This record gives sequence, structure tokens and C-alpha cells, in this order.
Amino acid sequence: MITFLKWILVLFAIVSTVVLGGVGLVFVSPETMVNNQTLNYVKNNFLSNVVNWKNIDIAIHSKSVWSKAISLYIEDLELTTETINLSMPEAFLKTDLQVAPWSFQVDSIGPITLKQMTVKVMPSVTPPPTAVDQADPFDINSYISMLNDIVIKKIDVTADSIEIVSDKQVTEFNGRLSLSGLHESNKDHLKLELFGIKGSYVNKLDVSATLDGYDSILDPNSTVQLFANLSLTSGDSTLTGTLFPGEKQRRSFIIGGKASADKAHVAFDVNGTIEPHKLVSFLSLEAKGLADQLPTLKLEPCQLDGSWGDLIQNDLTLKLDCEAGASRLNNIQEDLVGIFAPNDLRLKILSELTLKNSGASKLITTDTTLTINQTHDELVDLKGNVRVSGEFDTAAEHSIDELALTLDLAARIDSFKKIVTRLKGTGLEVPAPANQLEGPVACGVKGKFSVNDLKGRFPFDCKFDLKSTKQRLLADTTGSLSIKPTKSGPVPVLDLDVTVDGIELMLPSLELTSDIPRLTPDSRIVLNSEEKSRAPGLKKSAKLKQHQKSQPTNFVYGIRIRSKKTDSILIHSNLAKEPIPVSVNAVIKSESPVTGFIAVDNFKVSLLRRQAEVLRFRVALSEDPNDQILDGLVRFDNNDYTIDLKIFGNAAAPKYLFESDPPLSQSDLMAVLLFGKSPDALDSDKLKTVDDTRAAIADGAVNLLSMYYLAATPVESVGYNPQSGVFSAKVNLQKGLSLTVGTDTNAQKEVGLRKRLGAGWSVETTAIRNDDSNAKKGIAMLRWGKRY
Amino acid sequence: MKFQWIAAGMVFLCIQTCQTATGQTDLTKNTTKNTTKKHQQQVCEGLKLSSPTPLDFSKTEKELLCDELGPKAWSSVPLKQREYFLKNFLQSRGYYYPEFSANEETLQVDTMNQSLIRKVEIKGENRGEKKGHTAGDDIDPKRYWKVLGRPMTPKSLDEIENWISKELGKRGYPCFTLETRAYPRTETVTIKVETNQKQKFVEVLSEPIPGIVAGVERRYDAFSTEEDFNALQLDLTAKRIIDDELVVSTNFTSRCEADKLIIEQRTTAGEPRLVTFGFGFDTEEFAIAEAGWKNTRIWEMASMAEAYTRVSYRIQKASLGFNWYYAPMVSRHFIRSSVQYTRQNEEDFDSRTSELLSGPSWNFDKGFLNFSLWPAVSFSHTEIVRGSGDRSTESLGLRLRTQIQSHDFEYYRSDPRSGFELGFDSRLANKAIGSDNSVSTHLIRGTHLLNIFQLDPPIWIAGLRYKLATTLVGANTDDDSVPANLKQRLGGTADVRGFRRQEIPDDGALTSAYLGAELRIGNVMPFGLQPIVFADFGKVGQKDLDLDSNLYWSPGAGIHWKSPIGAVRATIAHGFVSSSEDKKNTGSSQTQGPGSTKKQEASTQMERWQLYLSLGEQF
Repeated sequence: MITFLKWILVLFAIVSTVVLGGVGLVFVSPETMVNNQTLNYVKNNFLSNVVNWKNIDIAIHSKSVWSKAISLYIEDLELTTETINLSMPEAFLKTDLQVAPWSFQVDSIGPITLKQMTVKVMPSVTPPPTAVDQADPFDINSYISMLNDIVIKKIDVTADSIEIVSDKQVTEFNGRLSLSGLHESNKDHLKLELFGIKGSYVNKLDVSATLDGYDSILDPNSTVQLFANLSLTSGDSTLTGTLFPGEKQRRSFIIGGKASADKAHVAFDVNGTIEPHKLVSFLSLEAKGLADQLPTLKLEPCQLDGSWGDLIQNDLTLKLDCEAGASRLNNIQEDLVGIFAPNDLRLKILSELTLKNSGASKLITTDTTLTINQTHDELVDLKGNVRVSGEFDTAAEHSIDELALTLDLAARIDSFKKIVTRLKGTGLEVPAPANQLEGPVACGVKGKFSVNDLKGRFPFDCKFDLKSTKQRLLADTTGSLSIKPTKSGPVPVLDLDVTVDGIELMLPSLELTSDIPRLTPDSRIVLNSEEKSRAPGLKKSAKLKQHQKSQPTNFVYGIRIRSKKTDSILIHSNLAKEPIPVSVNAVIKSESPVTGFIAVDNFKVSLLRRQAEVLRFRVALSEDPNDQILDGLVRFDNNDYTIDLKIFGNAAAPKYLFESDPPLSQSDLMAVLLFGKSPDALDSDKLKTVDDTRAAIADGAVNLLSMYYLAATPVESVGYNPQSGVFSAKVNLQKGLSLTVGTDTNAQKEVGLRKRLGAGWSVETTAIRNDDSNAKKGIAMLRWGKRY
Repeated sequence: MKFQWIAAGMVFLCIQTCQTATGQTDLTKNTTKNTTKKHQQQVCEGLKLSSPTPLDFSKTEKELLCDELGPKAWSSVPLKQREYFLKNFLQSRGYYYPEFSANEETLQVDTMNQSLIRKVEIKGENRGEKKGHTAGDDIDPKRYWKVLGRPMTPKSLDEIENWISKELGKRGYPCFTLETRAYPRTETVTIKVETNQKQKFVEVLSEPIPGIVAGVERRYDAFSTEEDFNALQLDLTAKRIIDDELVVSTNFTSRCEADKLIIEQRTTAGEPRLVTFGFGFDTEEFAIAEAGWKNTRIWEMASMAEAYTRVSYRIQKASLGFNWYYAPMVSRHFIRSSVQYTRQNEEDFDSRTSELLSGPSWNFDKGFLNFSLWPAVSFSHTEIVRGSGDRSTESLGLRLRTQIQSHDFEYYRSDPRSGFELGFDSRLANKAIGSDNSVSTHLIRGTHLLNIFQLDPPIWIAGLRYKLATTLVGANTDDDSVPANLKQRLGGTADVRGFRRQEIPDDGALTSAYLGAELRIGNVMPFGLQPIVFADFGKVGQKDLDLDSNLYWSPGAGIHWKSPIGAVRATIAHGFVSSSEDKKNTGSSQTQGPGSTKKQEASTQMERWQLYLSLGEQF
């Protein structure tokens, strides 16, 4: 037993000696264990899939038992993992280590020289970390704290190609990083140059940054001198920035940028100083071509201040206080906004923007007020403010929490003439006779709108108080603008009420001796010959309408126009002695045709050469004359009869019905109205006129204008051919002046067997047969006849 | 040589008018192509116009285009608005693609070319889904030539639509839909014609005429309910009623309600009695005066009584007439009676005739024809004051008048263009049955018109007129006792126009035959002028049913003017007499007797220019 124990003790002593000797050998002469051969062996046998090199040369120098200096040179190094591919022709690394059995410490790193490195970093396919190990692998503070005690000597890394592949983008660049030292002296120098950074959103970015005294990154109290140049190119946009070293902890910087997209060009400059936890800067911006109506926008230098605590962990607050002026070129644009927007707008922008660091997401809170000081533009006085307030989370996509837009704006145009002048020469010129009006127009908008749920509305109102000789326009317009969510996205909704309180307009003087000028194109005439390929006619129109209806609209509007009283609108015309009172009640909606009517009510007028009263005359509004339903009642007061003319049908084919009290036959009624006498007292010509008028009216061949002529002027004769629908009437306008109106004024020119000359006279061609000689011939006789 | 005149005249007129129908007349020359020379026009201050032809603007149009005119509110029309107005005004004149340029306050406008109507297309379509032949297919738009080559204006489009409406109405389609599209770029007009099934006439809803049985006016109908609808027949019916003075005015309107045709007749009756006085003139009768009285609505069946007097240098006539509609229902049968006194004062004779006529009369329409028949018993007393024949004769006999005419001839009588008229007139008398002599007369006459190429309105209207008349003298009657007024004569505006009124022969004949051909060029010359060329041929015979060898013929030309007071017609023709006997005897005149020489001299005297001027004659 004792012997056995002895053997055991001897064996233990031998093993301990071997182990301790081995360990001691490693500490005393580590190159015996870690050398080129062992590293090659390990690479070849255990890491052949991960790492490879052509040559490796490691040298371990023992400064003492515990202090070692390691130099490593690798030729043609290649490293391949799931997330990284790295290769470089040469790599040299030197480090000093304290290797004690109780501790392991890096004393210094460097110099490190990595030449012509190419790197490709790919996204990891490993599952996301569990809740247990959710520690931030990029917790920079932990890295910084690690580096606090390490002396980093010269590092020189050149990369021919660095490619970082993420899920959504690939970023490529090359560059150089040189570091003169860290914790080695007081004038450490870090230089970083990255060239040709290309990514999904960046075409080219060059960064050149020099940092002296970079200890400030690690130690906030240290002095840092930073000089950096930044050059970013993306499409037509470039961004350049320079950061100058300043005294103590203050650094000056200038950032300039130019961006172009389509016709828009934006250039800005920011210069200021950055101090620890504080930013003081001035911003100037000039934008051109952002919108047609705003060719140039200049922001005068305005102050941009920022503050933050710990840049990494605390909130960042930016404040913008800008007494800015927006200027635009004074050139007339054919666009309503462009024309009416003031040329010079004085603005005050107060904005506070806080970036709250809340774990992975960033919460941005803003309260921005844009105050428009009263402008004394030659056209529009505009004042009010626009406020945007609320917060939103950058992490949650498409999520905006409690972001509200508040508007309170008022615009006033003192002189409508100025609008007329401003619009002159544009496509929006104010037409005659409205261009003769003068007076103020005032509009205001006030409301709050929630951006996140698209709720809210902007009520607005406009008042017109315009006048001129014999004309006026008094109208109140109230409405609101809101947003309506739809499947195809949010669309603006305009809800407008126009109340006409008084409009008087002058019509051009209409000459009765000639045709009424055609003021609208004839719908039968197709100017674009390409349309010929389509089937003509109403069916085509119907299809078009249907097509238009099914198209999603990008602007929803509902406009209601109504006159306050039945005589709110007065139309002056040379055809009527008194102004014609007109009222309107119309609804115009984006999704449906115009509805409503235009009406003339209780208007005393001289018609059919006697006083009459238009009790009502309404025209239903529609684009198609066939849908312009008529409803009219005109009353003629005769000493003996009350005669009503009912007008119905539609504008394309109006129909008329005469009724009387006491009742008269249609012939009698027409005779009384046209000639003021009963048929018994009329000669044949007038009776013929009565009859033809009746037939034409019954057939709907008399349009409204012809009816007016018939009614308002002495009728000489009426001719009507029911089969061809040709109606013509000869009316006496004044002594010696007559006018033929109707559907075919040539019809009267045909010579018939009986050509009526009026007052019982006619020229008749009589077939005369001589009974004896059997000769037969026609003779025209001037004949007078009277029935009795 | 003489026939060459006619041929040359015809060719000349054809050349002048053929271009019109093909749309290449002077009418279009001014407007067809944009001429290199443009007319510069200062419409007013601030508006300059450059156009192929000068444009006239109405006062209202100028007020809208010019600042210095019109009420103050319209004293400053913006350039854009002026441009808009002018575009529409130019469109109404056929200029669709004007070019505008503004120089300070002046609007300079180049109207560019005027768009003309080069082509009209009609696309027929049956209502519903029915395929096959359509009403629109039958209408050839080329027939409506007058719009071709004319500016494409809304008014022209209205005219095309009216014409198509009229054509559809004539073809049995009173209800239809027209959809017109005009393409100024291609100068084409397309009209889609959508029709229902062809309609037949239906019962007419008419207003009662005071004092007479409802429906009396149906006796004038040119249609029946079994026939296809034809708007022309409705118009013709109205025309008959008015011409007969039954009422002052009447109109038919037709419409469709739920595919059902409704025809309504509106009538203004007026008083039933009519008194008239008239004056006229022509170069045959010189001044003419007439007076008449008529009651067209006697009793409830609207019988008619008429008194009429007509006085001219040649003829004086007075008559009393009565048409008695005896049937107790609406009928086209009536008893027609008249008493008349006629004095005929011709160059070769002077006769005075009193005649009583009475007999049943009937007229009816079948298809496109109208028939009328009047057999009557006649009793007459004739005195020959001057001229051949018995001085005084009395006659008891029969008269038969028959007439067939086509509806289009009747309808367009005021502006003849197509159709035909055929008449038969016989007077029978026998010495054995109460007459002093056995002298009967028979007449066949006709007129046929042809609208060449069926153009509407017509351009070339060819006419053929003929007449064959004979006086039959009974065996118991001496030829010399035939009263002068019953002899046959030719010459004058009624037949052979190269001769004086009734001068062929001067002493009358027992048989006459006439054939006339005429070509009228209508609707292409300004002021309603219509040139005419014609050739009339006549023969007479001294025996009944026999013609002599002499041919009386007269080529001529004339002008027809649609004046505001009626048709004025002037013709000039040269009369020629040619005889086969003359030809035979040429070169041997010395062998002829004095009678023959006299005849030749008379014929030579008849060969001269003859001018006629008349009012009212159409063809």
C-alpha cells in the first residue's frame, strides 16, 4: 500500500514537473508553442474553412516573464466566414501583452499595417438574439471603456474595396485609416479617408476627416481638434461640408449643399459652431424651381441652435428661430397660386425639434410655427400662421403619432382691379364684363388638421364686394377643405357654399337684325380628327361618361351655389327694358353631374306686345341640352282673358302650351296673343300665320330664341313645314326693318302658288284653261282677298 | 343649222351647270383653298384679320370683339376672351383652325383655310339590334348637292339634317334619330340615321272645322291608311285643302309615341266666304282683271259655290259654279255644275259662248297618282261675231274631263321638277240630239318632267309637253259651219312659242298636234334666274284626225326668274315653217300656181322672232 502510494506520488511529481515545465516554457519561451509551424498546423487542420494565408511569420519577444511583444506578418491573408470575406496581400500587426497567470492585458496595439485590403461584409443569417442576450453588440460605450487603458500606436489601413451588404442595400467604398497614436502622446492624430462610397441612396460620398486630440471622444473633457471634409454626390445633388478646428472645445463648421431634381435646384449653407452639448449655427437656403409658381425661394440667414446632453444617450434638441423672408421672382405664371402668392413674404419660423432616444426607436417631437407677417404686396395682404406640432416615431413605419397642422391665415385684396391687371395676359384673365368690377375681396382660413388619422378640416370664407357702373357682385363664400381617406390614398375634399347676395351683370347689346352670334362651339363639329375613329354619337358620349365616372378622382368637391333672393342676380340687356331677375340654386359635385336650376321669377316684361309677367321660368342645369328641363309660366293679362303660357320640355326641344281663363281654343288663343284679335277679325294671311305658329309650337320646332322673337316683336308671317321641321318667322323689328328667324331662313324664298304679301294681298299663280281652245297656262295674279 | 343652235345651247348650259353638281362652281371657288393672296382686314382697333375672303361681322359680334363698341361693361374685352369669341364666330363661318398672335394690344388673326363640306356620309342603323337594310342606306347624300363645296358651318349642318329629315319622311320613316358629326380636318360630315320600322299611314287626328261634318277634309287626302307613310302626301293634302280655300290654313304634324305613329291635323278655318279681286298681265292677253266670290263650306258637307269674272283684252268670262257634295257621308263624289259666259276676242275670230254644265264628279288617289273625272251634260249657245262658222249655234251634248297626275307633279306645281300630268277632254254634240250641228272636240294633253340625276334641289329639269286635239265634224254638218272657237289652233306661250298666239293656222284647223321639249337649269344661277332652252313642234290638219305636211317648229331660249312676286318668264323663239311639199317644189316654183305662192308667202311671214313675257308660268 505504501509502495503504491509512493508510486503515485512519484507519478504526480513527474506529471507536475512536466506540466509546470511546459507552462513555464510557454511563459518563458512562448514561440516554442506559438510559432509559424503550429499556426500553420492549426490553420490547416482546424481553420482551413475560415482562414488561409500564403505565409505567416510570427515573432514573440519576451521582454520579461510576463511581458511579451508579438509581431505578426501575414502574406495573402484570406478570411472567410458567414458574414465576412476579407483578403489582403500584406498584414502586419504588433502588440504588447501582459501575460500573467492571473491576468491578461493588452498594453499597446500597433503599429498595424493592413495594405490593399478588400472586405465584403454580409448580413448575418443567424437568428436574432434571444431576450436573454439582447445586449447591444454595438454598445460603443463598452468598446470605448475597453480602449481607455490601451495604448494604440500607429495604425495604417488601406482598403482597395470594402463592400457592405445589408438586406436592402449594398454599400461600396475604398479608403484609408491612419492613426498616429492613442494614449501615446498629447498630439494624437487620426485621419480617416473614405472615397467613392456608393450605396442605394448615395452615388458617391467622399469623406476626409482629421481629428487631433481625439481623446475627447473618449474623454469629454479633453481637447479635440477636428478638421473634416465631406463630399456627397447623389444624382445631381452634391453636399459638401467642412469642419474647422476651433479653440478649446468649440468647433466651427461650414456645410454647403446643392441638390437638383428635375427642374428644382436647392443650395444651402450652414455655418456655426459646435460646442459640447450645444450647436449655434446660421442657415441660408436658396431653392429654385421647387414649383412653377415659386421659381425662387430664399431663406435669409436664420439661427439654428441645438443642445444635447450625452450625445449617445440623451435627447437632442434643435431650435430654429428664423426671421426669414421668402422671395420669389416677380414673373407672372399661368397658375392661380403662382399669380396670387406674394412676391415677398416675411416669415418668422419658430421651431423646436427634439429627438428622444428611446432604445431602438427614435421619437421626434416638434412644435413649429410659421408666422406670416402682414405683407404689403401690391396684390394680396396675407397674414397668419401655420403650426405643425406633435411627435412621431422613426422606428415605426408610416406611423405618425399626434402630428397636427394648424392654419390661421387671412388674405385680403383691396382692389379687384389689381387682380384684373395681374391676370392680364395670362390664361386666367378675368373676362368681360367682370373685369370692369372694382372692390375688395377678403378670404380667411382657420382650422386644425391631424396628420396621423387624416382628420380635421380647414374652414374658410371669402367675401366679394365688387361694383362698377351698372354692375355689382356681392357674394359670400364659405367652405372647408379636408382630406378623405380612400383606397387609392387620401384625396382633398372641398366643401363650398356660395351665397350670392347681389349680382348685376351687363350683357352685350344684341342686334336683332342679324343672327345671335354663336358663343359656344357646335357640339357636332369635331376639331380633332382622331376622334373620327371612334363611333360618333350619343352612345359614345354615354360610354365616355361612364368611363369618366369609374375613374378614381383625385379631388373631391361639392359646391353649392344659391342666390339669397329671387332677384339676387340682375341681368341687364338691351332686349329687356328692366333688368332680368335671376336666381340660381346649383350643386356641383365631383362625382355627379351638375344639378339645380337657374330661375327667373316674378318678372314683369313686355311680351307679345303686351305686359306679361314671368311667374316662373326655370331651367334645370345639365351639360346635355336634352336634360335641361324647362318649367315656365308666363301670364298675360288681357282685359277679357287671363292667358298662361306654360313652357316645358327641355332646352333642345322646348314645348309650349297656352291656357286661358275663360277657356279659348288654341287657335283663338294664338290669334289673340299674336295679333290681339280673335280669328274672326283676322285676314287669311294672319290666320295662316296663326295656324303655322300653332303647328310649329305643337311640334316643338320653335326654340326659345325664336319664341322670344315671336313674343316680343310684331309678327309679319310665320311659315312652318312640319315634315322637314323647317320653321321660319318674319318679324318686324322697326319701321322698314324685318328679320327672318327660324330653322331655315331660306325657306321663305321659295315661290309658291300663293305668295302672301300681307293685308289680304297675295300673288297667286292660277292655271287658266281656255275651254274652247284647250290651251292651258299659268298666270300670276296680284290678288286681294277677304274672308267673311 | 337650226338644230345645231339647240344642240349648242344645250351643251353650253350643261357645261356651265355640270360643274355645280360636282361641287366645283364659282360658289366654291372663293372658299375652297387658301389662296396665296389673303385679304387683310382691320375689323376694328386692336383686331386685324387675314382671311382668304373678306369677312363681315355683325354689330353684336363687333361689340364683343372690339373695345370701342358696346356698353361700357364690355368696353375692355381681354385678348383671350376676344380670341374665344372670334374662334366661335369664325367657326360659324367655317374657319376652324385660326392662328392667333397678340402684339401688345392688337390681336392678329390668320383664319387659315375655310373648311368646306367635301363629303357627306350617311350611316343607317335600325333601332334595336336588327341588322340588314336600313332607311339611311337609301339616301344618297350626293343628291343634296348644294351643301357640297360649301363652308362647313352649323347652318349647313342644320340644312343637311333638315334634308335628311325630309327624305326619311318621304320614305316612310317619320320618327328617327340623327347624330351628326362634322370633321373640318377631313372636310367630311357623317350622319348616323337610326330608324324604326317603316310606318304606314294611320288615322289622322284632326280638329273639327266649324259648321261642317267632322272629317270632311279627308276628301282631300292624298294617302290612305294602307299605304306607307309619306310626308309629301301629308303636305300635298294640306296644300289641296288650302288651294281649294276650304280653310285658311291647315298643317299636319306627325310624331311617334312608344313606336306608335300619331298624325295630327291642325286647322285654322277662317270664315267660309271669300271675296277676291285680282290683276295680272302677260304679253298675250295684256292686262287681266278678275273678281270672285266663293263659299267653300255650304251646308254640313262643305259644298262649294263660286262666282267668278275675268276680263282681259282677249277673254272676258263670267261663271257661276256649284259643287254639291250630296252624299250624307264624307265622300269624294259630288255634283259639279256651272253656268258660264265667255267672250273670246282673238285676232281671227270673236266668239261669245254661254254654257251650262252639270254632272257627277269624282276624284281619288291611288298610290302616287291622283285621278279626277267629270262627265257632264252641256248645253251651250255660241255666237260668232267675227270669223268662220255659223253665226249662232246651240248645242246639247256631253263633256268629259279626265285628269291623271302624279303626286310629285301636283306637289311641286309651283316649282315643277318631276312627275307627269295627263288630261283628256272631250265635247260631244250631235245634230240628232238637240244640237244645231254635229261638232265634237277631243283633246289629249300631257306634261312629263324629269329631274335628271334626281338632285335636290334639281339642276337639270327636262320637260316634254304634248297635245293632240281634233274637232270631229259629223257627216250631217258642213265643215264651214264649225264655229271658229271650236277649231284647233297653235301658237303662243301655251304651245309653239315661236309663233303668235293661235296663229297656226289663221283660219283654224280641225286637228292639231304639239310636242315641246324643254330643258331648264335651276338653282345654280344667282337671283333665282333659271335659263331655259326649248324646241316646240306643231302640226295642224284641215281634216279631223289628219295632219298637214307643214311642220311649225320653233327653237328658243328664255329665262325664268323666281321674283319676289312670283315667277317671271321671258322666252324668245324663232318660228320656222317647213313642209315636205315645199322641198318637193323647190326649184320648180315657176310651175306652181298663185295659191301655192300665197301660202309660201304666208309661211315666210310667220317665220320670225317671237318674244313672250309672262308672270306666273312655270313650265
